[in-house]
Amino acid sequence: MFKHMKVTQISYVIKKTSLVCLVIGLFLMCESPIFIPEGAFQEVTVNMSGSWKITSAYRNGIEISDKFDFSGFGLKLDFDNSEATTYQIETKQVPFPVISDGNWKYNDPVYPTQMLLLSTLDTAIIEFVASPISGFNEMRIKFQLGCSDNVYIYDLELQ
Amino acid sequence: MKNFKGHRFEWNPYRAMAVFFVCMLLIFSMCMTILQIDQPSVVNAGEAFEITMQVEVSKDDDSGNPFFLVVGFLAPRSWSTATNTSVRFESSVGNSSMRLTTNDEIDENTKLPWNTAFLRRFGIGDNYGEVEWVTFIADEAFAAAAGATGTVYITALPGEDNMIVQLAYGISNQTWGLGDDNFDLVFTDCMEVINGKGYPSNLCGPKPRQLVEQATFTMDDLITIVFDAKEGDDFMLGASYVDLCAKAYSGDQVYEICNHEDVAALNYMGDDVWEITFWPRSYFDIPEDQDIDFMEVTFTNDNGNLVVTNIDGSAFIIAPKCFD
Repeated sequence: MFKHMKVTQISYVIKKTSLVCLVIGLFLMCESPIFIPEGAFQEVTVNMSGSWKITSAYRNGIEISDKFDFSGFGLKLDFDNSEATTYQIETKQVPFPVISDGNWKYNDPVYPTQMLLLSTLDTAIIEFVASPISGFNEMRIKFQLGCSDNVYIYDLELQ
Repeated sequence: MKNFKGHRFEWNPYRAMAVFFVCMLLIFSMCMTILQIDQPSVVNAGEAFEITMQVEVSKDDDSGNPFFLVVGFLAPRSWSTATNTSVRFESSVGNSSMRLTTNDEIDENTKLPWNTAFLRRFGIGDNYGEVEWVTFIADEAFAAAAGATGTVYITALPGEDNMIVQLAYGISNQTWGLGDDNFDLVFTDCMEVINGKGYPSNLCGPKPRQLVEQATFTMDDLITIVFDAKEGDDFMLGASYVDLCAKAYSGDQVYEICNHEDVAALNYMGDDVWEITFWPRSYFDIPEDQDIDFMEVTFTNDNGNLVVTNIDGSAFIIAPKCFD
């Protein structure tokens, strides 16, 4: 078949055939399987379950830990099948936006910025100053009690 | 003698003589007088009410040129008078609506914006504070070369809070300002705003001693009470112990903690200043379904024989103060 072809033409055909082969080879290489661990893209609810105690308290940016006895406070958050459920307040002597036990949930279960506490008497929104992460044993929450001018921050530690 | 509701008149012969001579000197100038004010003595919170003011302009001797009537109204800041009040007048020379004065419109006498001029010139009467002068100017000018009479109608809207306050009314004109006889002023008797929210704050009374550290608060806040023994009655100076005697009012219920050394002792902060921080709900052990309306507090020494109260012997009132 190359009998009637010039040398330049033969070279051209060889180059083109090689290019086609290279492209087919690359395609074949791409077919090698990528292993993704099962559940890698599954979103996980942040787990904050446990009993939390106050380590420091602030009112309008000023620390008030020494002005009031916050030591008796305990907030117990329950978790059931990775779903937020009930909460209990150990002592009702310490200022907190809700005064009775009830249910709670995140505003967003994967990237929560707020915690909603619902009891028969009250509903309260508590903000996370920094978004909590599962496994962390500290959190900083922000809330109001009465007048919106007064902002309270508690540092809580997991017991 | 002028006689109208709320005007305080005390006979003083020296003042009368002085007024007589001043009037003789000014007899040929413009003279603006408030003849009568009809203002209710009790109004409902959040419910508009009308005030009428009879006004006389005796003579515009200067030129007979048209002038703009100016009305000043002293009212509580919490009423937001600038946005909630309408003013107009009807007179023998013409009727006009009135609008708020701007900062560019000044009193020719003091060279200040009208509301500031009223405040500087006339003060705030018996109120200890928390009131403001709001000034209005006529949309239309009228000449009153031969004098005129008229009625100014003010429709005011009280805020939602119960209170006792002294209102005041002033008139003047843009041409002459607050000089000579070109204005008149009346402070009325203190009036009550009822059926609103909270314990009534008495702006007509003595300025309440500031006991709560926070500027604004409700009974759901964590409250810090600061007792400065150097203020008022100073017989607690150098005390070694100060105790809080407090009552919380919740509807018909009264909760009291007095002579309770464990929880009611104030902490010494130095320089004769004492303080206590508590959460009223837990402090008084208020049931979950009840709220505290207000508190009464006094301060005592360890023997209980010295008690710091208001000058009249009454307890200090701590009522919520929040503008949410």
